[in-house]
Amino acid sequence: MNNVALKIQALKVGYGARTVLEGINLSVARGEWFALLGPNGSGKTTLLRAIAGQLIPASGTVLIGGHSIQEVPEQAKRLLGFAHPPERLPALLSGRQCLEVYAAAHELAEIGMPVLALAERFRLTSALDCAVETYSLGMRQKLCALLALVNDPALIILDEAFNGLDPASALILKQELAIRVASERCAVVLATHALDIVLGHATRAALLLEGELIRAWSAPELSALRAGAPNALEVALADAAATAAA
Amino acid sequence: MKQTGNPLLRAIWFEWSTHLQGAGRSRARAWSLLVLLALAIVLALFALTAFWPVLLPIAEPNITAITMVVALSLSVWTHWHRVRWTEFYLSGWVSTLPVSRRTQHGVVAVRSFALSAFLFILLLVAVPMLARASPSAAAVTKRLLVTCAVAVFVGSLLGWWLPRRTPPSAAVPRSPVIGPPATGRASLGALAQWGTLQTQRWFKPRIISRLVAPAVLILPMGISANLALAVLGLWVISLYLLIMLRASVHVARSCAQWLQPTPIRPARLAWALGWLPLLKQLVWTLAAVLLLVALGVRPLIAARLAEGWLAIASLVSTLVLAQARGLRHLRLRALFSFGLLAVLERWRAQWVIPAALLISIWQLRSNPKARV
Repeated sequence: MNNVALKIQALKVGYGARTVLEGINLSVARGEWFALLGPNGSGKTTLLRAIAGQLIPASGTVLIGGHSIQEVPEQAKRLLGFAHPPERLPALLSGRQCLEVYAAAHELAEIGMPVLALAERFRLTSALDCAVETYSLGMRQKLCALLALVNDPALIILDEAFNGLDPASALILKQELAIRVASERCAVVLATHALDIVLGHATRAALLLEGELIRAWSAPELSALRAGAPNALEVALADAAATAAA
Repeated sequence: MKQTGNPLLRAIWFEWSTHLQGAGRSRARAWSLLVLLALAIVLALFALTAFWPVLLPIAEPNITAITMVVALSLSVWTHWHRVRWTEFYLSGWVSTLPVSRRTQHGVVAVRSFALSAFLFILLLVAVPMLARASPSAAAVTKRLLVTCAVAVFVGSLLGWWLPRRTPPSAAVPRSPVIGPPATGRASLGALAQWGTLQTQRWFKPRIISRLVAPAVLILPMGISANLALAVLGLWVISLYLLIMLRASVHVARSCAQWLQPTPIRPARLAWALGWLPLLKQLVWTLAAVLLLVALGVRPLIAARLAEGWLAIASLVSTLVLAQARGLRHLRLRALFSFGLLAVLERWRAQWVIPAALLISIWQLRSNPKARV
C-alpha cells in the first residue's frame, strides 16, 4: 500500500492570466493531519480545488496515492474524499439521495454503515429524507462531511469544514477524523482559520501566503507550540508572515 | 467622498460592468463584447430582411396566434422577473440599504421590463427595414410588427400586474422528500429526477393557469375554440420544453461540478442525468407536433421542426456537461456542432438526429486539457 496519500510537485495554478499558486511542493502521508493556514485570499481554496482536480494546473503534478489527478483521474479520485462548500450541494435532492448518488459515483453497492452511524451521531438521520434546501448551514456542513467520507478515502480534503457546526457535532467530526488518521487509514488536509483545531489535532501545518508555502511546522514544532503560551501559534504565524514580508 | 445617486442602480451598473469586463477587468473586453452584440443584432436584422419575403406569407395568416404567443411569453417573463427581483431586493445583500420601498420598486420594474423595452425598440426599428425588404407587402409587415410591439407592451404589463397569492418573503421551501424514495442503496436514480424537479420549480403551473384565463379573453371574436385551444396548448408545451432545456442546462452544470471529485465517467453521468429529461422532451415534442398538424402545418415540416429541436436539446445538454468538465475550445466546438447540424438540416435532414447523438458522444469522450 502506498503510504504517501498526497504528493504535490512544483504546482502552479491560475485563473486566466492571473497566477494564484506557484512553486507548491507538498507531501502528506497516511496517518497525518495536515493543516493549511493563511489569510483570506492567500490561495488555500484554490490549492484544495487543484488537489481535487477541479482546477487543472498550468504546470506541476498532483499525485493522490501515487496516481496523477491529471493523467489518471479515475484512479486518483477513488482515493479522494472532498468536502464541497455547502452551497454546492444540490438543493432539490434529499440528503439521503445525495449520499446514494455519491456512493454510486464511487461504484459502491450501498451507503456504508460507518457513514450512516456518523449521520446518527450528528443527529442528522431524521433530516436525511428532507430536501437539502431546507437544511441550515450546519446541517449542510454535516452532509458535506458525510459525502467526503462515503468511499472511506485515503485522502480527505476539508475546506473550513467546521464553520457553522455546533460544538458537539464539531467534536464528533474531529474525533472521527482523528480515529481515521490514528489508524493510518487516511490523511487529512484541512484548510482552516481555527487555530485550536490545528493545535489540538494537526500533526503538521503550513502557512500559505500570496500563493506560496512560506513556512511549515513539523509535529515536534507543533508539540512545542502546544506546550508554550496560549497564543504561541498566533505569534508564530505573525512572525512567519513578517519574515516573508521582509 | 459622498456617493450620490441611486445605490441600487449603481449596484446594477457595477454588476454589468463586471460581467462585461470579465475576470481580467478589461475595458477593451467590455467594449468589444458590446460591439459584437450590436453587430450580431444588426446582422440578425439583415438576415431577417433576406428571409422576410419567405417568412411573411407564413406569418400573415397567423397574426393572431403570433400576437398571443408574444403577449403570453412576455407576461410570463415579466412576472417571473418581478417575483425574482422583488425577492432579491427584500432578502438579498442590498435589502438592508437605506433606500425607500418606492426606489426598490422602481429598480425591480427596470429589471423586469428591460427585455420588453429592448424588444419593443427592436420591433419599431425593424418596421422600416422589413417594409423595404418586401415593398409589395409593406402594409402587412407594418401591421404584423406593430401588433407584435403592442403585444410586447400589453403582455409585459399583464405580467407585471398579475397578482401574487403570497408575498415572496413568506414563501417557505418545501420540506418533504421529492422524487423516488431513497433506499440507502447506491444509485444514480435521483439524478434523473433532478432536472424534472428543477423544471417544476421554474415552470409554475399556478402562474401558467392564471395566465391562460386572460389569454382566452384577449382572443378575437370569431376564432374557433379548437384553434384557440391548439394555440394555447402549443404555447404552454413550447414554454415547458424551453424551461426543461434550461433546467437541464442548469442541472448538468451543477451536477458535473458537484460530482467532479468522484471517479464517475462522463458518459455514465450524462445518461443518469439525461435519460428522463430527454424522454420527456421526446414525448412533449411529439405532442407539439400533433398540435402543429392540427393547426394546419404540414406533417413533414412539423416533424423537421421537432427533429431540429430534439437535436438542439441533446447537443446543448452535452455541451454544458463538457463545459462543466473543463473542456477547452468550447465555443469552437459549439460552432462546429451547430454548423454541422445546420448544413445537415439543409441537405440531409434525416441525418440530423443521428449526427446530434454522435456529436454528443464525441463531446463526452473528449478529455479536458485545461479549465476555462
